[in-house]
Amino acid sequence: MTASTDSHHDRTDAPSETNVPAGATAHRCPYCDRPFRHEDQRTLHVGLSHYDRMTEAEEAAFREVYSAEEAELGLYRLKLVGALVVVYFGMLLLYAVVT
Amino acid sequence: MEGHRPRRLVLAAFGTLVLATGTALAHGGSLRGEAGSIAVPAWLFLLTGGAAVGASFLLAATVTDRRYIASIDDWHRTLRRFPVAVSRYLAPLVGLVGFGAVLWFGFTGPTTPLRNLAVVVVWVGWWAGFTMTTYLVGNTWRALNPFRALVRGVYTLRAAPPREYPQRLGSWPAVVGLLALVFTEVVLPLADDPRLLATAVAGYGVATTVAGLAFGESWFERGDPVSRTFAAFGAVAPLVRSDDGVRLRLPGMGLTDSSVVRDRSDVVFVVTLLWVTTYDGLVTTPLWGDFARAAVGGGLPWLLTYLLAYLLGFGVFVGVYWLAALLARTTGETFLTPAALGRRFAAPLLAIAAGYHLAHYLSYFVVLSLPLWQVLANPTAPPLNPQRYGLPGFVGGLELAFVLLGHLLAIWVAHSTAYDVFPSRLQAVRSQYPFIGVMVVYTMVSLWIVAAPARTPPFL
Repeated sequence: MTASTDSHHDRTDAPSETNVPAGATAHRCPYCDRPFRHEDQRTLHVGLSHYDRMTEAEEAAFREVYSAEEAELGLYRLKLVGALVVVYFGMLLLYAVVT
Repeated sequence: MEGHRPRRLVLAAFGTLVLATGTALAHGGSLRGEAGSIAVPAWLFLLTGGAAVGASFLLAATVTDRRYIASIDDWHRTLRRFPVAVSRYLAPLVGLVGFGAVLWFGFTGPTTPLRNLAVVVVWVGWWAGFTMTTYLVGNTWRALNPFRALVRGVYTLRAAPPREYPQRLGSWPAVVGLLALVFTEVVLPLADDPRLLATAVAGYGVATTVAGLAFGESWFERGDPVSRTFAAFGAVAPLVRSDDGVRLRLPGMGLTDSSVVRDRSDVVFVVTLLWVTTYDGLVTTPLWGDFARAAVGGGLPWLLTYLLAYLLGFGVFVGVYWLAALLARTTGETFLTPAALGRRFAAPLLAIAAGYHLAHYLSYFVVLSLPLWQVLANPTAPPLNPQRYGLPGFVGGLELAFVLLGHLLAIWVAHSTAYDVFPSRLQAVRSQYPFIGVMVVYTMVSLWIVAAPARTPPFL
């Protein structure tokens, strides 16, 4: 909440109810104790929500994970465009056959 | 620079999508009037609607710039606040005079529905027209509400503070009240019988005023179904009251605030709002007519048929939404509870409810606004034969476009909220899969209802 710039919106540090099932490993945020399934998620969360308090090592880790995510997003975006093409031409073909 | 690339991509893609769906809608729109010129079969038309919603999700997902998404969400201008005289004195006065006029003309006015002030003011002016202003402009019911004005008046004269509204009641009175109000509206001829309508309005007025006197104004913030409905629609609107004036935002961006849906009862209220608007349209479809006649032919009383279908559909809507929230925990790879996820992603549904209301009532409002003006101009002796406005043919297509627009807005709001909730962007997009699946199915159902020929529900 300290990191929120606008009181009308809460960012990823909003108080939220979590539930860690027995047997699952939780990566907890050192600042707000919120549990995450993956370490990368926690690293990103620290960089996004506690950027004013994080250590330099945490910032370096955040930058690394963030750019790795950028690369992964590029691939994901290609898949999205592929799915769009399938939907578009699928509908086009369907219209061609039906009408 | 980074921020502009996705923007251009999205604009180009949205343009293509609008063109594509525009063509399909033009075909779909012609389904209603001229049965001879059907361009596409109904299933393909519904599938196109579903595909349009799915495709817009794919498009929204390509926008991954956090700052850009937040900037759309945060954009606002603060306008000057209304003069206190208007919101504190004039608006409640208008509300009280309106309420009095509805009761007076409802009980004493002409019995022809379109010549009676109560009928046209309540249905055309208030439920169709005023409701549209609450999501297109801003929620003004807080100021207009005559019952709230009465309660406020009593508490300014009386020194004793009201009883505290019990927290554990949450919004459940609003859920039950909304279900009861809409069911009454569907099964009783409230739009045809001015005396009955005035009785119903008086009944609701007495009930909500008594509750307001018991709990003070907090009753209207949590428990009153009508106030809650308008407040929910008001979250979609661009104008909202804030501490330092009137705040102008992009439409729908108020829905990303976590204060719109606070707890489980609020989630159920949002889903109820969606279900009651759907049910209102569902009973006018030919399929429902056939089903109801078959059920009543089988020995079920007609009222029970309507009630069972109503409660069953309500259960299905709540259940499906809960299931989506449950699945989102898996697809979004998060430790957030399904309850917390359900709470954050319920508000976008209000954009869908608003789009559906607009689709349902726009032509109704325009056609009947002529008798409304005629009756308002001369309430004691309205014209003997009320006239109606005629509508051009493209309005049918426009209605379908509003259903789709509501869904598109909901998808963007959910996307924006997901970026708020999740630290990883892929996680944010993946968390939306179950909700989008539900939305695609719901679009097809609501398009089917809007496009089906409207019949009078049997036995009513």
